[in-house]
Amino acid sequence: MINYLLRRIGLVAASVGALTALVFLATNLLPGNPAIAILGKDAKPEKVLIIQEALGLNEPILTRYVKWIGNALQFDFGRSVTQGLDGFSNVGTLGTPVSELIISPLKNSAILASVSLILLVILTLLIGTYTALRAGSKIDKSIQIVGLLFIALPEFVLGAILIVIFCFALPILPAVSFTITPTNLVLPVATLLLSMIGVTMRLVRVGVIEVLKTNFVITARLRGIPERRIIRKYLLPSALAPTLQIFAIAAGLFVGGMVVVEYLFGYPGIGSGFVSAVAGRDYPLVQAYAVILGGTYVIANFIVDVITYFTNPKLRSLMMS
Amino acid sequence: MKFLSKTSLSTRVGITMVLFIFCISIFGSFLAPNDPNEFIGEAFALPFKGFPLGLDSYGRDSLSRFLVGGRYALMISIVGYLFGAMAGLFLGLFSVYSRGKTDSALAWFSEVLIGFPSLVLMLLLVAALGPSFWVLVLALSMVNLPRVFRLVRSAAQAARESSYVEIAESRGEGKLFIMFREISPSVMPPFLVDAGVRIPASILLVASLSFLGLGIQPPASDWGLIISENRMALTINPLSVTLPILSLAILMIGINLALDGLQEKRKDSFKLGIE
Amino acid sequence: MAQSENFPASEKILKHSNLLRVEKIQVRDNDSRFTIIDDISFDLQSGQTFGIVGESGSGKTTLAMALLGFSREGTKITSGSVHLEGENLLSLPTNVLRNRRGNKITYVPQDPSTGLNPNVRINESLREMLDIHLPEVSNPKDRIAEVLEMTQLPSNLEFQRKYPFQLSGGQQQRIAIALALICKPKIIVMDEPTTGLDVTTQSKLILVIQKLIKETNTALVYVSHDLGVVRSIVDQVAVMYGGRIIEQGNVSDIFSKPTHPYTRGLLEAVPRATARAFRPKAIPGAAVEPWDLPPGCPFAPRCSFKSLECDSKMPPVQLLSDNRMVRCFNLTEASKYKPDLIALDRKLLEANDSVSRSIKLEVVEISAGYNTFREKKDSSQNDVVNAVSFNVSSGDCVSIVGESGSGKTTMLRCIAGLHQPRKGSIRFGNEILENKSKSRTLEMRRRIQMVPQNPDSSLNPHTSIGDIIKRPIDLYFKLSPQQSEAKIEELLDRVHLKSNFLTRYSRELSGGEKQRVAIARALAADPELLLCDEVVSSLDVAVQAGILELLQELRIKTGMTIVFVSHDLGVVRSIASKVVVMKDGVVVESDLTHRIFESPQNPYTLELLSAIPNLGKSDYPGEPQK
Repeated sequence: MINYLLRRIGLVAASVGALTALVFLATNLLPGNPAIAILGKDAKPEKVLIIQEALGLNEPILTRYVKWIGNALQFDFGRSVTQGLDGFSNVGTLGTPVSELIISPLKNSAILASVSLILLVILTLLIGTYTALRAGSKIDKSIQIVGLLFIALPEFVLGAILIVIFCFALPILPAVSFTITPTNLVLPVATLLLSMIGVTMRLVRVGVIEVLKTNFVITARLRGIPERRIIRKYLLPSALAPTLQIFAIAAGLFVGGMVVVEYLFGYPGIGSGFVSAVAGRDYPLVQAYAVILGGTYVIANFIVDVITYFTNPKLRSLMMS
Repeated sequence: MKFLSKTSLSTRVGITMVLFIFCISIFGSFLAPNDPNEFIGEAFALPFKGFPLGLDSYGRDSLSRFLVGGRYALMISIVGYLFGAMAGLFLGLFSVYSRGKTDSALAWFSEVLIGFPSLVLMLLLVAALGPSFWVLVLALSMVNLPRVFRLVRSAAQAARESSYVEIAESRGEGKLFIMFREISPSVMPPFLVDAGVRIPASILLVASLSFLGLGIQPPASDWGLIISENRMALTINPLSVTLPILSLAILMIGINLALDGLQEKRKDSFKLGIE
Repeated sequence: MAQSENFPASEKILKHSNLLRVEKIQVRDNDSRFTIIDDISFDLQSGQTFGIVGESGSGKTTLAMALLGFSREGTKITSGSVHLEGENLLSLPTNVLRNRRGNKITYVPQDPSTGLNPNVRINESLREMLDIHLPEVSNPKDRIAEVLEMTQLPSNLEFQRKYPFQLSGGQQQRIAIALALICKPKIIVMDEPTTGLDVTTQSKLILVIQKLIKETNTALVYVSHDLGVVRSIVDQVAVMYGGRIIEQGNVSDIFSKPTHPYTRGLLEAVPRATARAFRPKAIPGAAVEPWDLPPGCPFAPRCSFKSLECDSKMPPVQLLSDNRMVRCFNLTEASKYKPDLIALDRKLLEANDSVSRSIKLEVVEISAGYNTFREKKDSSQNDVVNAVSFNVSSGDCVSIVGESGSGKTTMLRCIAGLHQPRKGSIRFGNEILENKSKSRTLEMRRRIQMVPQNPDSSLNPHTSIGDIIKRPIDLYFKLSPQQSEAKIEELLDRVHLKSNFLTRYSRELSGGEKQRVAIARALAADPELLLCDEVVSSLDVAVQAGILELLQELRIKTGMTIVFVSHDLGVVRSIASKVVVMKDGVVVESDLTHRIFESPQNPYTLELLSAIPNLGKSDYPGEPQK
């Protein structure tokens, strides 16, 4: 069992490693000199050279990568090139350390993500199972249609509509959320939730219907086992694994959605931070955010795999042998 | 087109909706009554003669801006999809054919790439290379490649392990023959369906990027950009954003309806396992 | 059992003494586009055993489930009644019906692995049945242990705490039976419980079932396609075709003096393991599907005795005696008919002792296995074939027989070049065969062709039949388009398929037709050696006989050498001159076919032979011609 966990962790580490390599490549290998991007096209060549030196851009890429990883593991992600600068007069003081800059947004996004995720999981399971059990009925069909509408609207549209309704028509909620308060959280969470639930609920529904069609559920009915018990002891355990998989896959969509939602509501999280960093070509910051955002999917899958492993007796014994 | 009769109402409605939006994107520029970039008057002016939707945040004709707002996104989506999908298709077939270590390595690599949420990946590339047409195309290809790869790979598994492929191998057929003559026909149906979903979804991605200000740049027009530029005035003159919002919505609803219809049909045609 | 409306008075008497009374059950699909089963009626008394025999598409599983008032998704029971101890199950409210299921009438499904809840332990599953149906039982643990012992399973706690996936197929099936017996039901319905199990496991399970029925005096409804199995378990049998019962009566009567043409055809098609053997005879055509039912008698399109009425009207129920029923318009015609049987001609099958027959294929000490990258390449720990040797003379058919895990398929694949043996060599003609098919010359690959097991995955669903057969021709020969076309048509003719098959696709074909196409594809290369991998195992008995006839014909006409792998000794008897019996990767006996059947030497061979359910002292169809 330990072997299995170690192997999985190894895979996760390798994936994250590859991720960081990609990010690093993207920001450093592709054409576009960051120094020029910072200083503007008409920058004096000497100034460009100085910046390049300061950013370490003159060394071979592999060295830079290794240095970067080494620093990253000690939570040093370099320094921002757009924030905390004081006019390049004294080159010694470049911007604020990235690690400082990301702490607060990280915390904020974590709050937003956890609240949204918990609500998402609960609602998806409830609605997904409910509609699956009553598949084909009027209520199922109407829920499907509503779900379709939510899928159809991209996050920014959904958010905009919610803003109109709740901020202008009935001014009960704030339209921007610069600070983290429960009222400020409502709309961002609602937007994220509604944009995802159409998809996840549908997938869970299909998964549950599939289990309902399996032979062992049919046989259970033929053995006279009451419906409630079938749901509890036959359906849910078998539907658990595929459902978790769905959420692992949804993690990607979730992160993307979070970026847009944070930007839309001015929520100070890593999503909006990432967007500003990209807009400002703040490479060290971009790198740090990209790794965090990209790593979420890998981590989510890992967590799902571990939970699946622990809840499935078959896998456990296979792993042990 | 005899398969049209096999499709359900859902699919037909869905495809119509998608095609309708495509048409607006393609032909919109011919229908625009005014120059979308010309400053006419006061920002957010209400509709008046010759300007049925009024003016946008910069005082330009909202209708014309909307009509030309689809074409870049559509072009970028189609080209970006083609590059990514062709590569993904070939690599997917190759990976499934090769099995073993090659397959595992390629699969792992594509999983890492997929791990990047599409938006984040595109933003990353834009950060590196700036928001231009070809950068967006490249970014979309990178988004589409691993996803198409994964789809092709999973669709081709069953065919790869079937007896008829084995018989072909024992006959001594070459790699390319098996990949394209024996395996790819099984992959085509899900691949085409996926294309039908992925291209409109790409349009949405471009719109999202534009909304964030990092996609199609002003003064060019894009639906996402329009929404971003005009959202502050939703209560003053919502007309500037209603059409782009509607178009994106119709696009997505259309895809999903079409997909639903396909699921239904597949269930229907499956002959009951009587014995 | 009398059930028609001609006996209204006795109906009242029968009603009370009948344990189960099924009347005119009809099941249709939800949209009522087609009928799956129709007009099914029969009675069952306490302790009686009743068999339902039919091939695929006959509706027997639908009927089995309908007895519990259940219909699968997309279907519904549209008319009829099922009276269990006087109460009509079909008219009960759901919660009451649920109470009867598992309690008074129980069901054992066909596939053991999917019939059990994989998420719970064995004893929890068993306990659940008691908790739901018989909560008043004072010692549930005792009852659980008791029922496990009855099915000849261990009753200790360690075994009880296992999960289904930790058990073998045979054990899983016994658990399913235990679940069906634990509430002491009045009737148990078994749906092909032995399908998919090895022959030896099957015979053990049959013994268990026989003992149980006798001990508990439970009534049994046993559904199967295997006539031999049915013969050994039940007293009464009903034969189904196209969703109808076409003949019914005592099992010994039916099997020795069948009256319906279909029943006769079935009995003529079953391979025999008994001494007086004849070649199995095919029923032309394919089994009918519910959405394809002809008006009138469902068997009419394939029947050699049909008259005009048969095509337009369903024959009514005819009572031949107190206990016998049949539905056919042309009984007298059919009864006059003497089947034209051919005895298994040993001379035709036999390998000549004369030296003039050369050795075509020589397998020498082949060992093969499945080593993952963890083991060393030449490690023998995962061998499934261990030092196997045998010869095949030119023009002969040799059969490799064994159960699953015996290594027979791996052995065949080594000959085909699809699996690399670890040790040993194979000679074909006078040359040594390269291990990998890729390393063999094109010519060598042409001379050895294989027909795979599963008809559903052996043909590319996206390629037309014509193109499937054309490809090997294009690959191996340089023919002009006209010559190719002519050859393809000739091949279709040789496998007895009409030329309109050229443009069709595999999904439109039946199992038997698909196998014929696969054979035609193999023949397109003009091979000298044909490797058949369980090619008839997934086909209905009647269709199976047709393929065997075809192979025999090919061998005689063209002198083709055949290696035929099968798990069924009975099937093999009619085409192989020599049999190689494998068990756990080793050859346990290898001899001429008739000697294997008449005087087997190895105890395992004996076990295999006695496990073949036979049709008893069945007179039908009588003496074959010499």
